[in-house]
Amino acid sequence: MDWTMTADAPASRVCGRQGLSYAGPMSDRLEDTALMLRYRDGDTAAFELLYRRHNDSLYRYLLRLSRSPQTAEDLFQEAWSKVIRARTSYRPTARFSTYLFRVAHNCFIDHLRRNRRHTAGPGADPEQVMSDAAQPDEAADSLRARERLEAALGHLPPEQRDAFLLHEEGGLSLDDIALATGVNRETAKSRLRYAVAKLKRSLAGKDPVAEGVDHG
Amino acid sequence: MDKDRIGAGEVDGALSAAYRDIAVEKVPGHLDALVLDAARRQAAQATDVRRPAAWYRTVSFAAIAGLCAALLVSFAHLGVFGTGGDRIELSVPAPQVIAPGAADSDRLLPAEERCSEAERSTSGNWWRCIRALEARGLTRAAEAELQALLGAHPGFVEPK
Repeated sequence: MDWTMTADAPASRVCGRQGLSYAGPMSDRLEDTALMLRYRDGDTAAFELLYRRHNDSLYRYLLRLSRSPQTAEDLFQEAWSKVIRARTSYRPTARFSTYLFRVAHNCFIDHLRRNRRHTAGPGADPEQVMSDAAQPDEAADSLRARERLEAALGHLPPEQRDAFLLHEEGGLSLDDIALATGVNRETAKSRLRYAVAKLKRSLAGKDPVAEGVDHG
Repeated sequence: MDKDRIGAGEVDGALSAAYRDIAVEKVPGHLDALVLDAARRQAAQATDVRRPAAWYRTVSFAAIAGLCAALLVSFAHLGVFGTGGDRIELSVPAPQVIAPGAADSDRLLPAEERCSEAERSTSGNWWRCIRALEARGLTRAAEAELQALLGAHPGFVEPK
């Protein structure tokens, strides 16, 4: 499993890791970069607006990535602190969401390195969830499907879960996911494809753990 | 779901919708306050660092004003503006006056060695001026003025 960043990024570093060089399309989030530039010049109201746009999605990303509310809170605060401190050197070379989620991703990687024995959070046991799902309770089908998805998401290999969450919470494209995670586009695409396949099987009531092979 | 960006069929709508159903968590309020406070503090600190002290601005203004004044005085001394002031004396000869009617070799006369226009207004005054030049020993100037007088007044007769 390649859960470390590749070293083909530029010299600028964010959150102790390599920064951004990607100059992709920015038109859809041009407002975000404009807000960040205004904050760079001292406009705190601009930052608050920017923060309100991304705070919940970033928190959910870190919550499901770390599978620990306390860790998610710590990483959330750390990521935003990095953004705040790096504002004077901020350059709109990528979408702001890509920049933000990359910072958060790097903070999570740093967290893993600090805590080599990363403990799994209170995620449900997928086998137990599969067992529950087998009960013929039609009224609870929807709830169980959601529980299965949550459990399956928690048991995805970290890099696949990361790719899926970056897409769902950050709205990142394959190129952006590749940039944020420091891998090439095909790797990002492969990770996302396996994640989606496993999650879809879990939604259908099939056991993703029994079928799955770590292709990350 | 932006399928065009993510690639053909990478994530389908049903999965995305199912995820949206479970992804409803919000940031705890105390985290919002922490982050926004940090952002405000950081911006305020940066503003303080970038804002120059009042004395610094005053001194800078005075220095610039003094420099401008010094340049203006220097230019005035050099005569750049073409107006009054204490000009630097250049090594150019003082202007000379051409005595009317004088020979070419004697045409250039200093102002104090010739008769003024008022003295030349009448032949009598002109003659008295010539006599004054002679009395001062400026014989060549007197001769030049006499030639001019005779040219202007051909019938002039020296008074007895």
